[in-house]
Amino acid sequence: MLEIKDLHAEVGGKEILKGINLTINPGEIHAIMGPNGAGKSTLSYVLSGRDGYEVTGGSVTYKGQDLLDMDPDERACSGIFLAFQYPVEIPGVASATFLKTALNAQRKFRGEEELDAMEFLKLVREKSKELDIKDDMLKRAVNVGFSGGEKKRNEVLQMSLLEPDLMLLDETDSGLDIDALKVAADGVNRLRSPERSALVITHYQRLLDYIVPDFVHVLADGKIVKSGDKSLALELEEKGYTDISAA
Amino acid sequence: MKTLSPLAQKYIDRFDSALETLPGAGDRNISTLRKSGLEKFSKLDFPNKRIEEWRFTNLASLTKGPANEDQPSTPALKHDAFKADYEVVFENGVFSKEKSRLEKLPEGVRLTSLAEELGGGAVFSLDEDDNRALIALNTAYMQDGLCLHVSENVEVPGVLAIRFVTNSSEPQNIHIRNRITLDGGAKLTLLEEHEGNGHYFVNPVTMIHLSDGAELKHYKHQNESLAAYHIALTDCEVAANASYKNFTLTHGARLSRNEMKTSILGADALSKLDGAYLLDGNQHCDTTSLTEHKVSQNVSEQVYKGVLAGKSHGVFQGKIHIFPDAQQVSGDQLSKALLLSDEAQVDCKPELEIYADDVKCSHGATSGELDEDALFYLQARGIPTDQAKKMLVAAFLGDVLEEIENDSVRQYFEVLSASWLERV
Amino acid sequence: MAVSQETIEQVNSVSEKYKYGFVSDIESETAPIGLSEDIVRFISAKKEEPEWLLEWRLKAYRYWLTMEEPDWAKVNYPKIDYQDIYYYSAPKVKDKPKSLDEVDPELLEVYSKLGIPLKEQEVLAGVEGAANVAVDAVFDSVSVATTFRERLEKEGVIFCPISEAVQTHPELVQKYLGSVVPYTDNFFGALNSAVFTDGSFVYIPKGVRCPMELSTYFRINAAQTGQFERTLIIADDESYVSYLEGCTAPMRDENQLHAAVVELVVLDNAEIKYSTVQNWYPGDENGVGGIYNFVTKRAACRGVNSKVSWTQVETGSAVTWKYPSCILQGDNSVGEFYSIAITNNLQQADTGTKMIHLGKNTSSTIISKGISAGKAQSTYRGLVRMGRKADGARNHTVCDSLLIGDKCGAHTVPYIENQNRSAKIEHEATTSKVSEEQLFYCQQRGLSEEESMALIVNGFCKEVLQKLPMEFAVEAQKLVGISLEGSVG
Repeated sequence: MLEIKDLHAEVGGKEILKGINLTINPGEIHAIMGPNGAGKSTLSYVLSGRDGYEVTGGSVTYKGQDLLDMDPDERACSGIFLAFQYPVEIPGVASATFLKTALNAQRKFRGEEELDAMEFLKLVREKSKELDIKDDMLKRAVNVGFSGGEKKRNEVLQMSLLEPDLMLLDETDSGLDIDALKVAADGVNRLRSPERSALVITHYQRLLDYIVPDFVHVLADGKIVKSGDKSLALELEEKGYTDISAA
Repeated sequence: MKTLSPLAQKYIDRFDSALETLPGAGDRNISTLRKSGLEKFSKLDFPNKRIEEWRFTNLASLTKGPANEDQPSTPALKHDAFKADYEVVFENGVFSKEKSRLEKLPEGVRLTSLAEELGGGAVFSLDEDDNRALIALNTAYMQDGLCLHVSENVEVPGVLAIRFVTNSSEPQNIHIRNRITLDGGAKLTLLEEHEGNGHYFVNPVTMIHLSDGAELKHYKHQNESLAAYHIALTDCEVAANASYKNFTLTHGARLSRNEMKTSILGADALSKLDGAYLLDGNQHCDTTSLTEHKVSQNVSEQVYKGVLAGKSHGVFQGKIHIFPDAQQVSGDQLSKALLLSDEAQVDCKPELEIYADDVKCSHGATSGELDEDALFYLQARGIPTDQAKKMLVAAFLGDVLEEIENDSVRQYFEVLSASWLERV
Repeated sequence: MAVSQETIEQVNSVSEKYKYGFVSDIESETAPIGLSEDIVRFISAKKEEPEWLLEWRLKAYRYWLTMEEPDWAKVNYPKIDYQDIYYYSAPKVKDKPKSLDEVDPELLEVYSKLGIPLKEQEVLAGVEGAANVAVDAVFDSVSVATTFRERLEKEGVIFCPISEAVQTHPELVQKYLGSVVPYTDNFFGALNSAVFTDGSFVYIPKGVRCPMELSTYFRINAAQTGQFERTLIIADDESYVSYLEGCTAPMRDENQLHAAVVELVVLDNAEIKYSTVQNWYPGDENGVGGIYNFVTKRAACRGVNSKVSWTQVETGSAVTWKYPSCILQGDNSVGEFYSIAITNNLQQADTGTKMIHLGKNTSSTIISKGISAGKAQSTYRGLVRMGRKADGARNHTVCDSLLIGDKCGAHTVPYIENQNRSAKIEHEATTSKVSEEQLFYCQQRGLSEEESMALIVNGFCKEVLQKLPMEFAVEAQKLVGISLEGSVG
């Protein structure tokens, strides 16, 4: 599904990613762990196509296509979903309008019929109920006045609505209490299927208790320094990043 | 003697012959008034950039010679007309009885044309201390306009639309003078619309007086030809308990200026001025407001938002003036501009002049481009860039349009803004 | 608002209205009254100036003759008769003093009365509490003493009267004088260029962090005399200096003109912090006398990452007309303006700043606190301009006014011009009064009405007071209290 080869990237002239290699097959869940400043968030932004994150070397192939050649919205329509570490507040744009526009843009891209207001509402209500999210959130402007937990839940709601093929979760656990964490993890787990993959970026092992990964990678100073199965995460928790990176 | 601008000279040269054809020609009082207007104008000339109030707006392209012919006479934005309950139509600055629909107007509303009034001996005056050249010129050359009087406690249901439609194959200058008076407790909702084709200069001057407890909702939609000059001045006096609520949507004209002067003369009065300007190409739009709190215990509010594309230039100047002893006054003002292109420009001068201490005043001004984080967030959900930008611009405008209390007008302005966005 | 005991004591310690209002009887030498080319030549000759400087002065003078006095500021004062002013006045000395010991003891006495440390011994001897500040003392038209010069010379720092720098470092003066404020800039700037008599010159060489605060103390003493000082500070690459300026004048019934020019040049990665406590005689409660303070201050941030921070506490003068500005030319350069302007009785102040953003990612911050009491008028006037090439530039402006009493005025006139879409400007302004509740709350805790007012106003100004160097902050806090005397009740 996703093949990253020797990926180098800069932000503001400073090299952050220094040669990443990673292959994610359909159905696999990969976790990327690492200390602050290792380049975790940069990786998620490079994959989702944010301006100002300049790729200086290497390649990324997604479903056989050159991902780096695509605009952010094309990537999203092709099934890449980034759950933001800090979801953006957009005053004046109602959540419902935003979600409907996004969903229909993606459906249109795939050549599917666009949903009308009624169909959309029905779908959203269904998903909200599944995730135990109050649908009055839909009336409010996107993320405006949401608590940290609400923002993260909203990300998960969007994800379950848009049904992506590749989920990028950027520190989805930060700022969440244990109950909110469970809801978020539940949202991700519901989407798990043999066709769907995920890249879970996290600083702590805690989230991986709920979203169990197939592979765990340690990112340090812009490179993957160690890979393993889920036991690596536990090892990290115990020994800390310094020891592992040095090893 | 200083040299006047060519256009000012033209006005002066043809004044004597114009006097004979302008309405009220037979009335000596009117002729005297026009003459004093011209005299004042000939001392002032058109304002230039050396005058503080005009530092950001240059009228040279209008006053230095014939209208700029290379400017395409693009028709204004096409849209479905607003369905008003009553309609007054002026064609090329002249009242059209045939096109107006006034039969449903309730009793207690007197609506006539200025030409009629001037012919019938009505009294107009020119404020000696007023040094606004365009008011003086308007006084000399006023040709027609709306004279509206609503009697005490008459509440006019629905919306009264006043349409100024200009279709000129040749450059022309139109000087409109409106006079609107609401007696105590009267209520009215007004939609003033300007649209047209071709090269022309229109100069509407509107004098509004609101007596105790009167309420006027005054909506203005300026959709002049993109080759036109639109310089409007609106003066409004607000007595105790009265409220004046104005919302101006501007997206027309090559160069426009909407100058508003509100004098608050009583306690518990409200002046609320809001607006949105949407500019593209070489358009220039200047919003200038002066709010005078002359006595204690009243409120003024202002919110203006601008969206600027192409090489357009937006100007906002707003002054809140609190007179000595005008205590317990609150005056707030906010101006926000969104620049969509590298060549657009915005100048802003929010001003406070305060001579009383028990007051609460504030102003805020921001300017910048679309929020990149928000844009990326929308894109990351699959919304194409173009559409995402439009959503964000619409959201930016959304909260100022919310200020419009009349539902049908608000929806109308929302549709207009959306179709403007589609065109950009 | 935290009520600190210290503040209360400071406020209490203030008893006199304007304690710097004394006149010193010092014999001085003056030029004939009035202004002409001859006077310009006289000043230049007195200073033994090179030909180029005289030429420059004359050009400025001739240009000034073609100019009109500006009238756009919100200040009113009777027309100034420029022929009724002495343009040069200097304490009589036989020879120039070579060290502090040779300075006229009467002059030293004046400064000690003003609380200005012209003594090096204390600091050198490590006396506790002695301020670590080098001072240039300007008395009427000339500099009378500059302390700590040797110590500064060791670091390569040049700190001397500008008249001396013309002799000793002509290449630096010629290169930079008038390069930030050309004589064509404005009426008072042109006048200053023609007749400036002294002022301070500072050069901080590459890579040097100036080891102590530099300070100039301006004193007008002679009657009917204008003070026209010129300050030039150059911070070379990677250097830093903090500079302070203080001003006082005797109480006199006439108005006196003070028209200074300050030019700052900041090169790559350098920083200048410039603080002013302006306490010229403000005139009496009926508006008689006081200084006309018409000053042009401007900084050119020419280098990348250069930074200028203006902090001013304006409490004195009958009329103030002053806009310390920054031209942010170098990429990533930073301009700051922190201002407190207090006007009482019939004082008028029209002050603010200009932030001209030319370089990429330049940023500026403006915090202005205006306080009006009595029948005073205080105006903030500012310009923020984002040029076409100022990609990513930022400005944040906060401008608050406080009114005390119902006969005063507070005005805000900001000009905001944006020609670059990636530039971001935020401006906010508020006007309010000291609430009855706040006053009552303080009084209920035992403070007098005046103390309460001083305390509340100090709180209102806190953000700016914090920007001042330690020694000045205390002084400024006291001044806030004094300036407001008689404003309550």
